[in-house]
Amino acid sequence: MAPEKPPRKPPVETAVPPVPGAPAVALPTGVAPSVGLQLPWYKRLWEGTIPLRASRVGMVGFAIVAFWTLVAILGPVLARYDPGDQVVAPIPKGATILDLPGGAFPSTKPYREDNPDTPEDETILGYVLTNSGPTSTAWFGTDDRGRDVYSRLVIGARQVMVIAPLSILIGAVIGILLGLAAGYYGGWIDEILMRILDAIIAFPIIVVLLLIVSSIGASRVTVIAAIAVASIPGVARLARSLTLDLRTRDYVSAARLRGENAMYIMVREIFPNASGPIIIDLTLRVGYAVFAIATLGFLGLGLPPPTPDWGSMVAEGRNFVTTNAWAALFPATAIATLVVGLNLMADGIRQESARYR
Amino acid sequence: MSRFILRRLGTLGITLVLVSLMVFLIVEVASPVSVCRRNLGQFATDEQVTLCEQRLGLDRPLPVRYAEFLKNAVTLDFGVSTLTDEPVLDSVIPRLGKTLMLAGIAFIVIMPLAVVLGILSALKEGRLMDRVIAISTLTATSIPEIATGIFLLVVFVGWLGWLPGATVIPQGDSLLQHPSFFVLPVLTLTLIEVGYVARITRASMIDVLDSQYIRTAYLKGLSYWKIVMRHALRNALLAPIAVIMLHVNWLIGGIVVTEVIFGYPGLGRFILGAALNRDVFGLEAATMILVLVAVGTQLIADVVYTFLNPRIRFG
Repeated sequence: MAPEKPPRKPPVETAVPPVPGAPAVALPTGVAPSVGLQLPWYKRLWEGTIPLRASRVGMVGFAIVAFWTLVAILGPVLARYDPGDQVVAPIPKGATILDLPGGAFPSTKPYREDNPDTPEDETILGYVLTNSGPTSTAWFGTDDRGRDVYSRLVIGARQVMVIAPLSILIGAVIGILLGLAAGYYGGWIDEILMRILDAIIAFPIIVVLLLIVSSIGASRVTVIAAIAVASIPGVARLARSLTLDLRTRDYVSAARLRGENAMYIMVREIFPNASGPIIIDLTLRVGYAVFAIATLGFLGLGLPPPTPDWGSMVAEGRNFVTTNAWAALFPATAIATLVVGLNLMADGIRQESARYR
Repeated sequence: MSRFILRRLGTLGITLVLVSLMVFLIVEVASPVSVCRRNLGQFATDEQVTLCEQRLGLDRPLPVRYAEFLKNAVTLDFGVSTLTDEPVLDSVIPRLGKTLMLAGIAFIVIMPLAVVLGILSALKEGRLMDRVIAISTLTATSIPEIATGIFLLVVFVGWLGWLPGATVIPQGDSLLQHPSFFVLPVLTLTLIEVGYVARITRASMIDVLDSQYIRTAYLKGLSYWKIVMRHALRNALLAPIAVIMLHVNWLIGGIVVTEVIFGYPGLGRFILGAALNRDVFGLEAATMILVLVAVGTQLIADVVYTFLNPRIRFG
């Protein structure tokens, strides 16, 4: 990958060259000197979001991601039906089966018993509303089995929003440890690790995911594991290259002279100084994880059937694109907005941090 | 130069051996249910499963099986498909041809478009045009193939009805006789890839425009367009060409998904079918060939880039 050139802005004027005897850097009033580490955690967290808040594009992405996070949290409250339930509509009085819209079939259940419109002494026959466009009974329409697309979408958000960050987190922990070890020890450890990671990179990522999930069997655990494995090489390479530079620093030599062990030096001395670029890289990877989950679902290798899964919703809707485009359109839009939001956010952070560096 | 290529080939060999080991372990060993049991179903008797394993040679010890797999992979002989009972290679090679055809057409569409967009945004760096191109291409690139493909399907097949939704070739016809089948897959791939290449072109062009020899050209009094077309463009095009070739793994992933969306009969759809139907040997063959294509392209890109760039060649 060719390195992206940071935007050409005049470098921010830093303080005047230090005059002997004068404080090296002029500090803004109200901030005590050298407090970087003593700030309470929430202030440090707030400061950590500066690159995001500084970028307009990043904030647009953040808004989209926040929206979907909210949907995922509120999922069961927002859903109107159980994601597996069929939407039942009343058969109009005097109508026969032949009068029903194409694809619809009589329901085994009467039209929603809890509906106040249904008179108590009378059972209105119901039919399963299949492949319908958006209506007031089903806001986003129904799929080919008569399930409510809106409810499935809202409940499915939860799956994506949990699995994506979780799988990247697992991949990141392993990748960072491998990268730190490879960069810190060098020599044959580095050589062996890098050869293995190169072999994983040689695969097109989709193929790695496909091989792992199809061989072991599609389940939530397999999907998480596959995405974690696919993200390890990239994270490890980045961590390694940062470590190669950082291990020559004086504070690492100092720690070594103090007699600290290798694990301590890697995790407590090197990692905190490498964390900036790694975090930026990980935000980009979460977007990729959403993409991977959706694609696996589309290929029929996602979460097993009862779970509403955006990717498999798209795949099912795709087969009926000429009769009812909505069933594919809504989940596809959900996937697209979430991935674009995550990417805009990551890109905003990346560009702003490049400017500050 | 030759030492560089030899070294690259050496590490490439190691990588390919490791790749084959991983493919073997994941496909034949990692599965919790044995290949034969999975193919025959839960109602097959144990004898039937044993018989099947003997026939496929799956009852032998793992190292022996891996050695044979490696030997066969070198000679590109991957055995007989458990699905069709034909040699795997016979179905893989024509499909590879169709996939390469799709990739080639996409490449021809993507490159000029991306280069024009990249150069435009480099020349207007920081202005409105640059930002509009940057944001729209970033968005188009970020949208996953499945969403892009569905949007195109809904509009052009579902609503307008202009194009076929699936690639169904009449018996005896060749794919090229039906150019309409290519429109949507190529469009999908273009939307996915164009932003990336445009981005690289932009960065590379900005780099070149910043350089000393462009300043010299200005000071010599050459016209703006002469400088852009003659001096800057030639030097700026090197990076995007190399990058798209190094990017081939991403392109292959996109092609696999695109083929599935539009039912295009290429290697991508084959690999998915093999994975879903537990056609072990077909899956191994298709994977190894895809990896070979990817690694080979990257090697060529490396060599070409090194060869064309004197700073690396003599450095």
